[in-house]
Parts: sequence; structure tokens; C-alpha cells
Amino acid sequence: MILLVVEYSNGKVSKSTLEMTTAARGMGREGPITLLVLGSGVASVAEQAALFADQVLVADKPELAQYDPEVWSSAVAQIAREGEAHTVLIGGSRSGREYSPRVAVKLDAPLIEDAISLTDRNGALVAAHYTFLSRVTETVAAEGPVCVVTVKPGGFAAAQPASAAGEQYDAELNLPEPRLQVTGKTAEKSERISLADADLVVSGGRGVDSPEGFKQLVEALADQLGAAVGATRAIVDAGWRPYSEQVGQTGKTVQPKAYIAVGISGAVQHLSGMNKSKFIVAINKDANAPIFKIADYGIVGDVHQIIPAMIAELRK
Amino acid sequence: MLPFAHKIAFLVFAAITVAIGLRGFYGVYRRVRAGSEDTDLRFDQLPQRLWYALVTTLTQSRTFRRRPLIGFFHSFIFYGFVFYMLVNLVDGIEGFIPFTLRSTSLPGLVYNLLADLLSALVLIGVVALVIRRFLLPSRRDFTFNQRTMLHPDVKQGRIRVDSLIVSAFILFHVGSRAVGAGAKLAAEGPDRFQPFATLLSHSFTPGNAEAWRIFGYWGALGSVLAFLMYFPFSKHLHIFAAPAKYLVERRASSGVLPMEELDLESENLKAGANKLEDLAWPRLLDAYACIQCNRCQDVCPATATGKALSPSALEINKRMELNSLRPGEASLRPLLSFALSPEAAWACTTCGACMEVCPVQDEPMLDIIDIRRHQVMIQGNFPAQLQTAFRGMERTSNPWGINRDKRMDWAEGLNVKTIEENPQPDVLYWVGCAASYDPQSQKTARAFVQLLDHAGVNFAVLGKKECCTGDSARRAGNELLYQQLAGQNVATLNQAKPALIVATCPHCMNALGKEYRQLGGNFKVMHHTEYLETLVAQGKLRADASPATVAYHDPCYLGRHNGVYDAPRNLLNILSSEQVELGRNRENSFCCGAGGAQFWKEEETGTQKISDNRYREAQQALAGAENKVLAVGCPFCKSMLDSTAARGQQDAIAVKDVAELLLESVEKKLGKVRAAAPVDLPTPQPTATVAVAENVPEAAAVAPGTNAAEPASAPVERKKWQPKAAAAAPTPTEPQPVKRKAWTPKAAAAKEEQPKPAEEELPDA
Repeated sequence: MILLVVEYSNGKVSKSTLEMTTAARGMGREGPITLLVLGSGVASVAEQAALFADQVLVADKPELAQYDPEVWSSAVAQIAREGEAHTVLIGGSRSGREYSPRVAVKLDAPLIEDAISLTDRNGALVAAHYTFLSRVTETVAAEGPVCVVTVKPGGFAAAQPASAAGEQYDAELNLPEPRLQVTGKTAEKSERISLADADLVVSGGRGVDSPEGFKQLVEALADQLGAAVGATRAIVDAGWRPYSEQVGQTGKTVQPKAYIAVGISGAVQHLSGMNKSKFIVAINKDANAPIFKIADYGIVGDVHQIIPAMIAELRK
Repeated sequence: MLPFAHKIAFLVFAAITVAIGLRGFYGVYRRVRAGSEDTDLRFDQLPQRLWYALVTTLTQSRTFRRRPLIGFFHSFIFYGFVFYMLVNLVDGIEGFIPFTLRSTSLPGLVYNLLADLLSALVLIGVVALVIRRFLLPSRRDFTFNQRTMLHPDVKQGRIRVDSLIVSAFILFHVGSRAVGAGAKLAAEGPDRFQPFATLLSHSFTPGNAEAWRIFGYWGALGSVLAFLMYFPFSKHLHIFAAPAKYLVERRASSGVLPMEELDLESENLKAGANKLEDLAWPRLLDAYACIQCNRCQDVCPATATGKALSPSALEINKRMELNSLRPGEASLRPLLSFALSPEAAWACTTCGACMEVCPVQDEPMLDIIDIRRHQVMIQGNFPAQLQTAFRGMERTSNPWGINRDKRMDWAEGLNVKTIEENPQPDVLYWVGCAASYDPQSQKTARAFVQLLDHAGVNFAVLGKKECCTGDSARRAGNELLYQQLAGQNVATLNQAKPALIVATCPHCMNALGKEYRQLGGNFKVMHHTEYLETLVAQGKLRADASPATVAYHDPCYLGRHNGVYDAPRNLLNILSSEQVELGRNRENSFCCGAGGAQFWKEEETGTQKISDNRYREAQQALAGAENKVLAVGCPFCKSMLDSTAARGQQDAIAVKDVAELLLESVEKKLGKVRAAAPVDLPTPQPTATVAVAENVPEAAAVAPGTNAAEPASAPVERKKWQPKAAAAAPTPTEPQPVKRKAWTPKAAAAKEEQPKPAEEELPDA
């Protein structure tokens, strides 16, 4: 059996799962391609997965609602052992890289990481992966009755659905009591849209003069417009804003539909993070500020007068 | 002379201790030789090397630097020990043959006087250094900040114990000799050429003098022999390791990093250093040469701002680990697990201050580069922001990732010819990425070419053929990318064959002029301040002094790494009425925080920003001045100091390149009234090449099981999975009235329970 652990997010099977399926189909080993779905309320995931597999094993349990490397590795190892899997494919995602070594240890199996090709050569599993800043492709071979492989995302083409949907089965598991409890999740405190996804970004620089100025001008304008908030390196360094809001060379790269730069002079460190924005509005008191060279609309003036006026106008 | 029994006992003791001592020294030799071969020559020009080692050792010139008072006391001990090599020999002979060197002849007189005075001086020196190390507030020089990774042996106080043992040994050794000499004079009568011994001689009676003389003999010579056994494990080893370091000193400028041959075809890919033995052997010798004085820590910008990096801790940790290994035994742990933490390795700005200040010429900065090389090229483990810069250099030949077509935009409206338009220039101006794309640095480039125009210089630029020199890539550990970029530039320049290259960026200047020699590029390269100085000297540029007060910040890659200190100062002297020096200047200049690829990443965690630290120094130096100017000679220093957090919005200090200041003065002299508006800048339209999502392929693959938001879908009928082991059981697809049980590992047991149909009892119902 070729066991493949399904990766999904928001109820949709991830592309990485389809890539792993391609790897499984093409590696030249016998055995049903078996997709394992772990989680809680994953019926639709299983249904999608069935389109690509010979069979789908589903462990749909409330205990599996929360990812835990200990539980995950134990589940995968159990199924692999009982199903006598000769190959276990796990996605090269953050979590996959975390629990795959545990699976390998539990199965006493060799572990191949970040595979970009997979073939069977006389019983040995031969895989290629990148090293040396992806300039060198190293080929490794693993032997033994079972082998654990993580597959590099993007390393294989996404699989097309099989001719017939595979059968779905319930898998009973002897899961260990989770020793880790997730007691809470704190997302970076922001009720606003994340910078990277925002269609509209309002950013502030030194020209706002103070942390209070940033709140009164940049945050207020962003709230009024439903925009994400960004900042320059200078004011993040000064401790006015968190690093998560930094836009630029060493911060986030954004390309919103519109970018409003408030009191930003336009250092190249900042420009390189926002110059792909579709539409740029700059407000700065220095008419010679480099930001105006890339702005579609430029307003020369004091941000302390212009922004409140803009907000007042928007409120009408 | 010693009594016969003492002679025998002494010889036996000497044989044992010398044997154990030699074994220890051989162990040190083997541990050092376990290091890898060095790509730099370490034994070329041997006569010059020997001469340099001798002179540097005997003049103590490196020890006097930075801590002259300590150096003064250290010189007492040093010169005492040099002379004691002779004293111990003479004393040793006196024990075995009836012979005494008396002050009756001139050589005897000189010998006795020197031996006497130096004994006293050594004792004074050791006591002074012990007081300084353990009692005075200066003892804090020997502590490390909380973030610094320390070897377990260091944590257990090994350095203190070692210092105490060595100090106690010197005191006992020299003290015993003085006691013996005093006892001898008590029997022979006072000698005015041995004032110290004569003074001590009064403490002995004729009755006990002989016993004390013999005690002095054993105390002085016996302690040396006993110490031999501990010597190879003590910091005292520096008395041999330090001159050895002078002998094998690295001849290349500190700005030139060692070449790394990268063989991508090799079966066994190696790059940089993972473990101790991956370091070149001279840098294992460093660990033994290190005297743990922590001068490097005093000058390190990372340590000064509370980062995890301490160059001395690195050397000390290396030594502790080396000593914990048996000679010839391979080291077990990666350097990053005991020598320094990853955040320390990424905190280095490669400013070179540690190597400049080190009295024994250790090279901790090069260890860090080797560690970064391994992390970047083999482990692929480095600060994520660097990836953006690497990608930019790779795809667009500049770290910002701005379109290469825009590389000449800085010169908009100026008369700047490319090498195609002017193939035979006297000067090839190397603009560099910063001056090409950064609006602040563009001012420097524009000022410089206008100055060239004023002076009538025939110059050209490479234009779009110019590509990033790779300085940052190399210092970030990406030697592969550096060699690609450097290779392209060397090919372009070898074709252009410029008579002289002038660069406005010290990093470019260092790479082009010094580092490219490793790749077959031999070019004459100057910094623009050096070239402008010649133009002023030739009278081609005339400047008027401005009323500004100017402080000059020495860029590391211009000053310390390339020795250019005076050219910018000479220019400033002409163009401003008053210059002040920053507290730390010239060789002792303090980094702006940008070097070593720091500019392309976020600063590591510490107590303050390096650029703030430097900027405050400028504020202090310029306090009280009317027209404050902080002059720089490097685009990265300019950017760091100009945008640092300590710089308030209303701060009156102007941060300008020397070229900008010179242009103002020259134009003033020419009587030109500058346009009211400052230099009109060209359009800097950077077009970053890659969207965020592409940076992080993992972002797409979300951990399974995190789909809390999934809408409840209709339950699907599923069969229980039968593992392969249970395949013999009735095919699950057959219609079966039986409720399927959950699949269990004991497949056989499950089968047995199946035959009983569940509805058997139903008819009765």
C-alpha cells in the first residue's frame, strides 16, 4: 500500500495532496494508492480526496480537530503498520516536516525529505532533492520494507482525478492521549485586514511625527476606508509600530489596488516593498520627496491638516 | 650548588614534568592541525614573517594599543620573562656546578642588575594585573552579556581559575627566585647591583640562609617544571601561540574574505564551517593564542548594543571545546551549539574592529563568515529577509530587486556617458547599486559626476552592464552568488580595461580592488574622496570653506579594511571652517550597523540599534555647533545614520557625503547661485520582481486539521477500512446486514465476531 496523508485547508484538499498523488502514481511501486484523511468534520475533504485515490481512509474524530504532531505521527504510523504500507508520503509543509521524522522513528523507517522526484529502483526508493541553495540536486536511495518521504511543495505536477472515485473507509485508531493542549491562539492583534491580502493600504512614515500622530492620521484613515495599516522601517525601528506592519525591503512586500503613503519620503528600502501597488497616493510636505516620483497622485502639504480633512469628507 | 640528593631528585622531577609537558604541547599541536587547510598562504615570505613576528613580539606594539596602562604593566611581565629564560638557565647550572655569576665583571654586573630589577618589576606587574582583574571596577571587562552563549567550562568559572593559577604561578616562581637571590646575598654580603635582593637579604640570618637558598632554587625552577604539566591547558600558552599567530598572520587585508572553492559536482558537498575542524587551522590556533582580554568585545558594535555576539566568547568557547577533545578526536557538536548562537552569528557587521584590536591577531570575524557560509549554502538556514536581497541580486543585479533597465536613471539630466559612448575614459566611475537606485545616494553620485565635469575629467560609467559586486552576498555567506556576480563583473571589466576605477561606495571599492583579485580581476581602484583629493591638489577643483561644523564618520570598509582615513579629512579641511572628530574615529571607528549584509535584514535582538549608538555620538560631538554636518563616505552609512530612530524629526544635523559637501563649496567658489530647489532627483521606479506568496512556498500548505471553519456537510456513508491483513475476510462491498465494526489491528479477532447477524433476534420483537 502507498499511504499518503492528505493535506487540506478550509475544507479543501490542498494542491500539495494532488502533487503527492502524482508522485505516488509515477514512482513505479505496486499497491493501492491510499489517501488518509485525519481531522474532525472532514467529510467533504474525504469526498474530494476519493476522486484521486484507489481508497480513502477517514479518521473523522473530534480528538483530531487540533493538529498535534504526537497524535498525527501515531495515527499515520498505525495505519502504515496495519496496512503494511511500503511507502508513506507526507507533505513538505511546516507540519509535515514536523511530524514526519516521528513517523519514521515509529516505523523504524528511512526518511527522505523534500523529494522532487521518486522512483523505485530494484526495490530501493530513489529520490532527488535540492541542496546548496537549490543549485545542486542530490539523489538519495532508501531501502527497507517501509520508507517515509516528505514531498516538496511544487515538486510535482498536480494530479488529475482518477477514472473512478475510490472507496471510502472509516479507520479506527488507537490514539494516544494528547499531552499537549492548545489553550489558546493569539493572532497578531489586528482587527484589520492583513497587509498582504489588502486591496487598500494606508501607510505612515516619519512625517506623522509621533505614535499618537500615527493613530490619529494613519489608523483613523485606514479604519474609515477599511484598509490595512503599514509603516516604514524608520518608525518601526523607533518603536512606534510593530514589525508586522513594516512595508519594504526587510518587511512585507505589498501590491494593493491602492496605496496611500502618509508622511513617507520614499527611501528605496520602503519603495521596493510597495512599488507594485496599482495606484499610489502620496501626501508629504516636501515637494521634492522621492515618493512623488512614483505616486499617481501627490498632495504636497501638512499631513496633520490634510488627513483629518480627508476623514471628515469621507464621513459625510 | 645543590646537595647531591637534591640534584638527583631535581633531575628525576625534571624528566617527569618535561615528558608530561611535551605530551601536552604535542596534543595542542594535533588539535590545531585537525583544522582544515587554509586557502590563504601562511608561510610565504618566511624571512619577512619571522622578522615581523620577532619585532611585534619584542616591541609589544599590539598589546599597548587601546589599553596603554595595562600594556605597560604587561610589558614588565613580558620583558621579565624574556630575560628569565636566561636567568633560569644560569640558575639551573648554578645548582649543579660550583659557579656563581658575580657583579665583579661587566657582563656579570649587567646580568645581576637586570635579573634583580626585572624580578621586582614582574612582581609589581602581576600584582597590578591581579588587582585590575579581580578587584577594580575594570574587572567588568571580563564579563559577558546575558545573551552570550558560553561553554559549560566558562560558566563553571574556568577562566577565573585559570587566571588565578597562572598569576599564582608567576608570583611563586619569581618570588622564589627573589628569595633565593636574597638568601644568597645574606651569605655572600650585599651587592649594590642587586638592590632588591640586598633588601630581601636582611630578612635572613647566616644560619637559615642556605636552607632558603635551596628553597629558592626549588621554588623558582621546580615551579617552572611543575607548571609545564599545566602549561598547555592554561591561557599562559599565549606566550608561544601569540608569536606563532604573528608568524602565520593573514597577509590579505581584513576586507578580503578567504576564498572558498565551490565544487558543485563533488559527491561530498562542503562549504563553510559546521564543526571546529572545518575551520582553517590558523583559526584553531586563534583559540590558544587568545588571552581572554576581551578587547574585541569592547569594540564590537554587536556587543556594545547588547546583542548575543561576543568575539572573545567565541574564541574562549572554541578553546574550551578543543581542550575537551582528545587529540585527534573528531569534534561531536556543531559550532553553533557551543561556540556562538545563531543569532550571534547573524549579528556580526563584519566591521573588522575585533581583528584590528586583537593583540594576538585572532580572526573571529572569519569564523563567523565560515559559519554563515555553511548555514546559507548547506543548511539553507538564514534570516528570511536575506532571501529577498539574494533574489534581487540574482535576477536584477541589485539587492532591491529593481529593474535593471532603470540603472542609469540616477543620471537623468546630467552629462554622463557610458563606456559604449566613451570607450577610452581616464576614469571609469563605478556607481554601485545604492547610488543607482537609492534617492539619498543618488545625490552623492550626481554630486560626484558634476565635480568630475567641473574638473574636466574624461570619465564614463558602465551603465546597465554594471552589476552588484556581491559584497553583501559574500558577507551573508552566499559565496556562490557572490562568485557569480563577481565573475560577471570581472569579465565586463577585463573587456573594458579601465585605467582607473573610482567608486563612491567603499564596499564596491573593496570588492573591485581587493577581492576580485581572487577571481582574476586586477584593477586599480580608488575611493571618490581619494580621487577628489588629487583633483583638489592639482588645482582642478577650487573650494571655498563653508561655515559648517563637520564631523566625519569613518566607514569600516574605507577606513579599517582599506586604510583610507586622511583623504576625506583633507577635503573636509578645505571645505569647512571647523571639523570635530567623533569619539571613536579612524581605526577605532564604530560601525553604522549596515555592513556584513545587516542592511538587508532586521537587526538582531539587543538593547539598542547600532546606528542609534553611533548617531548619538555624532550628536555629542556636534553639540553646540551652529551648522551641524555629519559627513560620510559610504551610501550605506548615509542611509543608516540618516534614517536612524535616534534622529528626531527636527534634528538639525545634515547627513551628507563628502562629495555633496565638496560640490557645494566648489559651486560657491565658482560664484554660482544654486537653484533654490535641491538637486532634482530622477524617477526611482523600483519594480520588485516577486510577490510575497512566492517567497514562502510553505504558506500554501496549511497544516491539516486547521479547518475549523469548514461548513458541516451531509454525512457520507463509509465502509470500515479493512487493512491488508484482513483482506481474506468477506469483501466489504457485498451487501451485508451486519453493522461493520471499526477496523482494529487484531484483524483475526474482529473476523470471529462477525458471523453473528445482528438482526437475529428481531423477529421476536
